[in-house]
Amino acid sequence: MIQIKNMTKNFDTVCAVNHVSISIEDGIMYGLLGTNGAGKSTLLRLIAGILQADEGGIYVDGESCYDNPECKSLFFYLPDTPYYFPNANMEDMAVFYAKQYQQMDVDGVRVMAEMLNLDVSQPLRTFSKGMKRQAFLILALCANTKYLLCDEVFDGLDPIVTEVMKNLIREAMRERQFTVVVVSHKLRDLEDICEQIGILHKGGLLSSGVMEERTSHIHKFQCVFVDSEKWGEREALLQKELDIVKCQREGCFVTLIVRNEKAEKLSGKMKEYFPIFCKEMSMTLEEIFIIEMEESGYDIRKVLH
Amino acid sequence: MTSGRSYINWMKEAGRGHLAAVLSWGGYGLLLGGKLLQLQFDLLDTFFGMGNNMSLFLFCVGLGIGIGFVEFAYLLQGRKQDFYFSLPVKKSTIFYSRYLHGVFHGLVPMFCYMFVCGICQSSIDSLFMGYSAGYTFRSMLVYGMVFLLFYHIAIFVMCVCGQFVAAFCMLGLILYGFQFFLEQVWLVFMERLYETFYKSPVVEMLEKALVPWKLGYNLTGQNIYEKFLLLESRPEPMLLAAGVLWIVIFGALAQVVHKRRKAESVGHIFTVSMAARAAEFVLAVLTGTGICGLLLSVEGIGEMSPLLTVMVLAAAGMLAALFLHFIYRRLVYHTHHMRHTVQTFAKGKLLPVGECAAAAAIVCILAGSAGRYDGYLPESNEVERVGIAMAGLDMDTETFRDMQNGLAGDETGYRMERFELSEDGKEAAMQWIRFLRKEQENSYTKVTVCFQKTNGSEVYRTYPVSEAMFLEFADVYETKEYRRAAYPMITQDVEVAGGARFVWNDGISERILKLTEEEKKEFFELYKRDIETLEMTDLQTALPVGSLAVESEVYDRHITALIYPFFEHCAAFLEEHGVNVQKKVTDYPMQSVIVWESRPVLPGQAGGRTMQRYETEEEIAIWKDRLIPQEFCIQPLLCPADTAAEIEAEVTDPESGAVVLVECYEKE
Repeated sequence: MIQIKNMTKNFDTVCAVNHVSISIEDGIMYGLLGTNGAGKSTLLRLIAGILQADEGGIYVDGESCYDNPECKSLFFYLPDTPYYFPNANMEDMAVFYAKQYQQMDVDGVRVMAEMLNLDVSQPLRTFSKGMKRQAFLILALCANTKYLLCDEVFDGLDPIVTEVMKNLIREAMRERQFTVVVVSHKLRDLEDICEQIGILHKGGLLSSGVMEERTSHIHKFQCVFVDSEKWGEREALLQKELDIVKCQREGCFVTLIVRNEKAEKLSGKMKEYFPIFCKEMSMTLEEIFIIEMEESGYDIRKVLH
Repeated sequence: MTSGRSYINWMKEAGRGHLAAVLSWGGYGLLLGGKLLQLQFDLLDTFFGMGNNMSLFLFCVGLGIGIGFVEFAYLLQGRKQDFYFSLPVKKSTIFYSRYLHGVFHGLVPMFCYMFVCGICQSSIDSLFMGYSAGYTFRSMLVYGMVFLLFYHIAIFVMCVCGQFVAAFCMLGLILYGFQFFLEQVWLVFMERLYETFYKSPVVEMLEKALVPWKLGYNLTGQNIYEKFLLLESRPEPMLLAAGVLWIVIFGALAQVVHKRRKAESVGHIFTVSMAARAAEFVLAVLTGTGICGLLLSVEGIGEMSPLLTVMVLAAAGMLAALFLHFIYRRLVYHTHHMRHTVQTFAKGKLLPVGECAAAAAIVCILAGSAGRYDGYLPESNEVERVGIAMAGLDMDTETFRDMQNGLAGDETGYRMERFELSEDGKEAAMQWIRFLRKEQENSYTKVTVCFQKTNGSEVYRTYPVSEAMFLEFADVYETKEYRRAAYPMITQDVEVAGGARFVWNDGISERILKLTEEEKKEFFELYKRDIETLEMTDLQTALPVGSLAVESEVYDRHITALIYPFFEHCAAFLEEHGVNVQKKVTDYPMQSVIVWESRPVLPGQAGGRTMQRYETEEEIAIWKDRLIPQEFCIQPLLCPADTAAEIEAEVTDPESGAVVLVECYEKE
């Protein structure tokens, strides 16, 4: 388990990470979301033990990890632009990592590379950006560490490569107890694979938690009314009775997001206005977080797009 | 523990680039090949280790810096540093494995090079064989120290800076900062403001010990050219101690800075704030004092009253230090807006105050010490020996001119060594110097003295000498001790000179005297008698008529005595043995006289040097009686010649029939 307790990191006069506390449980995929300069990469470098926190601490399985090889052997840090030795190929890097990580599976690297049509003997410098990302993800997964820290690994990749990489991670997570922390500035990169997401903004943590828990008290209904010209009166009535977060009408088609009501009660209420069609729909992550953050006073749309 | 965490594995990783190994092994391989080839041709002047061996010294210095930069380049490369620091290994493991890898590739090929050279030279050089082990070991020691010194400096620089450009600048500051202070500040102040300044052993010692490349230069004996001297020489303990101290200090500093260095400081000029402040302080003080050194070369600054000089210089020093502080803050702390600059300036206000105070204090101490320095004269009982070099006495005109203009440092030093007085000469000299300092008349010539004190220190001073005081120097000149130094033939050992050749030279022709051992002994006695009765005022009456050289091939000793016409006993002896001591240039048949004259010309114009050739009998007759061979014009003050024109006389030697070109001056 990774525990970040009240951690602060300053770069000269800039506060990059401001009193952040997060708990990341084992066996999950945790997404760290934020705009450029929000402090995501700094937080990841702090977790990886590259940087030292000015205040607070990071504990991995109860141990502080800064300059602690025992603790750091539990991690594999995958930066957005991975470093490799001049003229090194995947095999060279695998051999190098094998000296650092006892569990490194060098043969596994060859097998996975073959599956993805990557030549392990070809110098990494000749690989495209996507190929390099795949190559290093393979190396990271084959290091067999307990934790994988990925910084913007899906950024700039085409959808197919992104999906391949996500599948690799999912596969690894299915096979063993494996925790992944992924940093991204795009929610769409994370929404389909992360169980928990933390949102960072200007160094501070805005929100952190499990997606399903966050959506339990909010319901989204989509309805179609024949007499849509009367909708104005109905909306005024509903506003008095329900806690409406969002109400949007396009012709006969109405989308309503309501909070703090039971789904059955809401469904019954809507039927009182005789819709042709009315059904509760599942919400996207984006919608949930927009609502959450707007409520907190943040213009979160900037974070998400 | 993973295997990757072990030092050996990390040392192997450090060698991944092979650059350090290629640089070192390749370089020493080339040096070895070149040196072995050189040894085949020249055993006398070829040194593979200590001694004048500039190529090895420069390579060793370059290698120290180069390997330091190569090994610790990861500290200045953000991606590479993140990569290393994210691995399960301690930062100190990476640091020390890199350090040891550098030491290995810096020292092992050097030791191999020395060892192979030592073996090869021993096999072909019988003289060297007896010294081979000691010399090779000493060479390994001093060159090893030079490598470590520059290696540690480079590592420190890499740890303390976050950019390559900053690292190079810092390296320059460490290598030349102190030298700049000594040469452009301290010495300039002494030369401009201290009237009696000749040289400062303290500054020289500090320069040797505290300027890293000069320390290496002296430690490796780059100034020793003679093989025999070199094989016997040992590195100075003071320099060895300074070398060890530098190595330890920079090594410890690098370690401390590396520990405190933050990973995010890559790309910053300095990685630790203390280093930024220290560099700022040093630069501000150097700028402040350096400007004062520069100002002193401006006409009129040094001629002001002492108090005004100190005030002007201190004010200039403080302003320059403040200016540097301002510029530094803008560059290092990126304060591009004036408001921000002023804020940053005000924030660390104690630092600029300290910088200004330090610059002003140094200026005040240096400038304010002039009176004390010039007024210093040790008591006679504090002085063990006095070395004295009087310009214009017993020297040719050119040397005299150079000594007057301060251009004959070697000659002055040689004379101070030669005229080193510790007995009656010392007392007379101290007495004369005491009187000399009270004299405030116009300078006629100058004297340079070296007081060797009983505590082992040396104090040098140069004093202007009036004409009256110059003549008073007779009190020193006529002491036994001074005579022995000025006329070394009076101490000549007849046992040694028994087998030597006695050669008479009148400036045109040479003649070997056939003398028995008894006659040689007799000559020495007569010469001694003439010297004992010689007074300095006698030298005003005539110039030497010739010289007698005692040449001993067995003992490799050549000694020459100039014979003045008033050396009655010697003259009579030489006449007895067939030498015409009265014979002058004018007594030889003369073919022509060539007179070279120089006159000043405007810049850009040709000419300035004219030549006149006189060949007719009438012309030669006019010149003949006015010529004196230059080699006998050795009293430019007591018996001066007209040196305005350089004259060449073509004279026929009747014995050999050869035409000899004699360089002469005109009689005044």
